Amino acid sequence: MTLRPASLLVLAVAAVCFPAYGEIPKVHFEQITRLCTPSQSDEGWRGIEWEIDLWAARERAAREGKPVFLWEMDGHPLGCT
Amino acid sequence: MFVFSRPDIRRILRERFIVAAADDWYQRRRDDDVGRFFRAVADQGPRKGRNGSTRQGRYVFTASGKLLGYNNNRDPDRIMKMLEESLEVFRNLPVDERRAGATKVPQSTPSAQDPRYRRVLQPDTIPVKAFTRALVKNGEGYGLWDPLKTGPKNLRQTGLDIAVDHLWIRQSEIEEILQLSKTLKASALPRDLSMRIARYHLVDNTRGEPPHWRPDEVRVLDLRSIASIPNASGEQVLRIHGPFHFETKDKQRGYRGEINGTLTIEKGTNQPLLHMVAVGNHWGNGPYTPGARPGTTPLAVVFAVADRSLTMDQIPPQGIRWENGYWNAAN
Repeated sequence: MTLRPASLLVLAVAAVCFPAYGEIPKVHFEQITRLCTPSQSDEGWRGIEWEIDLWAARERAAREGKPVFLWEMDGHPLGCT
Repeated sequence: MFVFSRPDIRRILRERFIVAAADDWYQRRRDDDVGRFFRAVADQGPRKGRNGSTRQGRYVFTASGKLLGYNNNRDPDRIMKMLEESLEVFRNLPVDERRAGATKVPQSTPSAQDPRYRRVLQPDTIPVKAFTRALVKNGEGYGLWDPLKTGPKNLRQTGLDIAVDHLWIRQSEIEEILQLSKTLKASALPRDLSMRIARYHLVDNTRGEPPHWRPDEVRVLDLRSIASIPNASGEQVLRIHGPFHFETKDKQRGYRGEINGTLTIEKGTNQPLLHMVAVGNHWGNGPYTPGARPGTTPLAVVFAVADRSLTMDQIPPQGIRWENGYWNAAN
């Protein structure tokens, strides 16, 4: 089957304008990255300096004369939230 | 307002406490100094872990192991009250129990720690942040779900906030990908790596501990890499792409979508920089993640290389509790 020039032109334009099957358009890729990445100024638990080694926390508490606050969860609080 | 967003709570924690976080799944089981110390503290409170049950909560204790306060409540006011009351108890302890240097903490070496419940980021392992979020589709592409429509004010309770996990990749897997890219054809990612990403990280963890996909629930997974033209800095760039479809046998839970991304080898450092986006429609609840939005709704996962020098970026993946299963995810 021979395609007419007009049909070829339509196909060429489609190939350029529409992403290949399964492609995430660049604008969506950037949008989703922005929506899913915490900001630097995030005011939540991310802005606190957490110890992840309980023994190291205990040693620091002894050195500095402070109590330990431990957030203990099923699933790491800093890695499954 | 989520607890740690409150300025007064953040301030009191920073100024008056040593702040720590841990996964109770490991802590309540480990048979070493760390586990025994934690359980001795927890046993002074209500969470005595009968029959191996959870001991999760928020604890305040001295370096010597005396429990000063405990709660397991998300209410910021109640947590603040617990912190203040704990400090009061601490202040009323004899000086020799609380002054700096008073408590001698015995050494605990890594070799003496229970290897069954210890997961440490190794030098040949690359940590990658995995951020998951429930989204909506709109005229411009994707956006955030309108919190006013959900009722509860706490974003975390409705699963609208960004969930965090960590993907671990071995350096040898990166090298295998780079080697295959020399053929200049699209090559499948190492199967264990593809299945690790799929089974343990393309999951809905926005409302709690997620169920991981079983191998027979992976219906479609075809992640491939292909060398692309070098970027403006002359760095080697590989494009990663492919479809995925996971579904339980009863069809009650599933996730179907696409992954796109790049693996860039940073000039000078040869550090691999991975940036991937997975997006698609998810449906269904897990045993610990009830409250999914009805129907099929957009869920996205963004992968970006972490900074291994930060303790927060050294957290092991949720799925590595069964260590062998995590690394050999294709079996």
